[in-house]
This record gives sequence, C-alpha cells and structure tokens, in this order.
Amino acid sequence: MSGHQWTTADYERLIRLVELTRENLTETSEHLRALGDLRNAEAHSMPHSVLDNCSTMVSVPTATVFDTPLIEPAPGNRLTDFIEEIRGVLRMQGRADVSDAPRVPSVVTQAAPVTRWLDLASPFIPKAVREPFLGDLREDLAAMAAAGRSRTAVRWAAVSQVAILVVRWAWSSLARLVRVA
Amino acid sequence: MAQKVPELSRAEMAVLATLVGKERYGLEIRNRLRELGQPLSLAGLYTTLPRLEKQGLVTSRWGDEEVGARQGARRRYYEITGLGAKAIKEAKAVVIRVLRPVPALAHTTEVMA
Repeated sequence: MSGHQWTTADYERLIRLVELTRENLTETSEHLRALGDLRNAEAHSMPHSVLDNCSTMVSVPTATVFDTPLIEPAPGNRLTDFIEEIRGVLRMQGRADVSDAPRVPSVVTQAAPVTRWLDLASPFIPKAVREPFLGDLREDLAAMAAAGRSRTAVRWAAVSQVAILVVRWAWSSLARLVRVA
Repeated sequence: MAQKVPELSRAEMAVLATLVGKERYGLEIRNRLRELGQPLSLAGLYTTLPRLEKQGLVTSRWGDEEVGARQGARRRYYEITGLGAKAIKEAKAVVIRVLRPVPALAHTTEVMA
C-alpha cells in the first residue's frame, strides 16, 4: 500500500469538515478540496479504489461525523457524494453503525460566504447600481460555493466582477466627459 | 412626435431580448443569457442596464422578497418598455435583413468541401 493511507488525521479533517459546513461554507470548500486531493492521490497509487483498501482505518464515533441536521441532500453535490462514500466504507469495515438516513449537512441552504472584502469595496461601486449589483453578486457567490467551487474561485469571481464594474463605469464616465468637452 | 428608436449594441440587444414578455432581476438576466449562449458578466450587465434605462428602453422596480444569500440587498426587477420592444423588433428586422444572403450552414460546408 502506498504512503497515502486513510488515517486518523484524515478522519479528523472529515469531522472538522462536517462541523465547518454548518459554520463556514467557504472554509468547508477548502477542506473538501483537500480531502478530494487525498482521495485522488490514493486512487492513483493503487490498483483498486482507495476505499477498498483501508486496512488501517480507525473507529470513528458515528455521532460525531454524521449527527448533523437532517436535510434533503442536493443531487450531484460533492459533499453529499463524499459522505456517502465514507459511509459506505464505514459500513463495509463494520467499524460504525451508519444509518441509511440522508444525514448530510446543509450546504445549499447556507447564506452566502461572508466576503468582508466586498463590504470594503462597496463604496467604490457606483451608487446607482450598488445594491442590486452587490445583492446579485452575493447570490451568485453563494450559488458557486454551494456548487462546490473552491474558495479561491469564489474570491476571484468577487474581485474580478467588482474590478470590471469599476473600470467600465470609470471608462464610460470619462467618455461622457470627453463628449461634453 | 414619435420618439427616436436608439440603435442597439449586441449586449443591449441580448439583454432586451431576455426581458421580452417577462420582467427579470439582474442575476436572472445573466443566467438566461448564459443559457442562450450569450454570456455577459454581472459587471457588464450592470453597465448595460442603467444605459438602457436612461434611454427609456427598460424600467425598473425594487423587489420585496427577502433572500438570505443577498444579505439584505433587494432585487431590482427590470421590464421592457414600449420603446424597448420597438427597438428590439427593429434590431431583429435588421439582423434578419443583413443575414438573409448568408447561405445555410449545410450549403456552406458543401461549397467549402
């Protein structure tokens, strides 16, 4: 077996991931990506799936990982798929009694990631479109985060959209001034 | 006196087209444009919409629904005006007239082969 084994630390990260999902959507995406990378590393270094070969698995208190509020899991959601996969391993190893109930932390219903930067940038956004633009942007960023996009991608989307709007607005104001002159 | 119908850019045409028959808010317009294969960024949209409004091609109103993800920011709904509908109709007529001589794609492929 390769050096990428499913260890206690990995489980701890998963537990932290599930806990974080309720608190901070953006940070959860980071953990998800890290776990996804780990899983991929395992998958590429072994002939079978990493999940079929986890001989050094530790027992995880089921309640710690899965006792999150019951919600309807979003189809195709990365977190849903990932937890389903982990649940399958636990069942297979007989290490934990995992129910079939879809206990998945709410991702879709979370509010938009708190982008403090967006609040700081708001005075630079033209007043005429500030409220609808920022509202739409926040709604869009929340949808991106819920779709499992990385924290960097979400941040980049926020920064680029504000920057483009400010530049476009400044350019059209300048053009108007030139026309008047 | 009849109001002069302004000429539309491609982005203005696309935005107006999404508003025909239905009022929409910014993100909804952006998503509809994506579906139609005419992507426009939110920043681009919010430089186009005030221009259309200034020209009298669309009107807008504040929405009153509360959406958690928006953190208190209201939605702004845009609706096409009579002048806007006239402008998009004229733009469509021009596009059809200009593109009529362009041969069908299948024929073009045959010629090129």
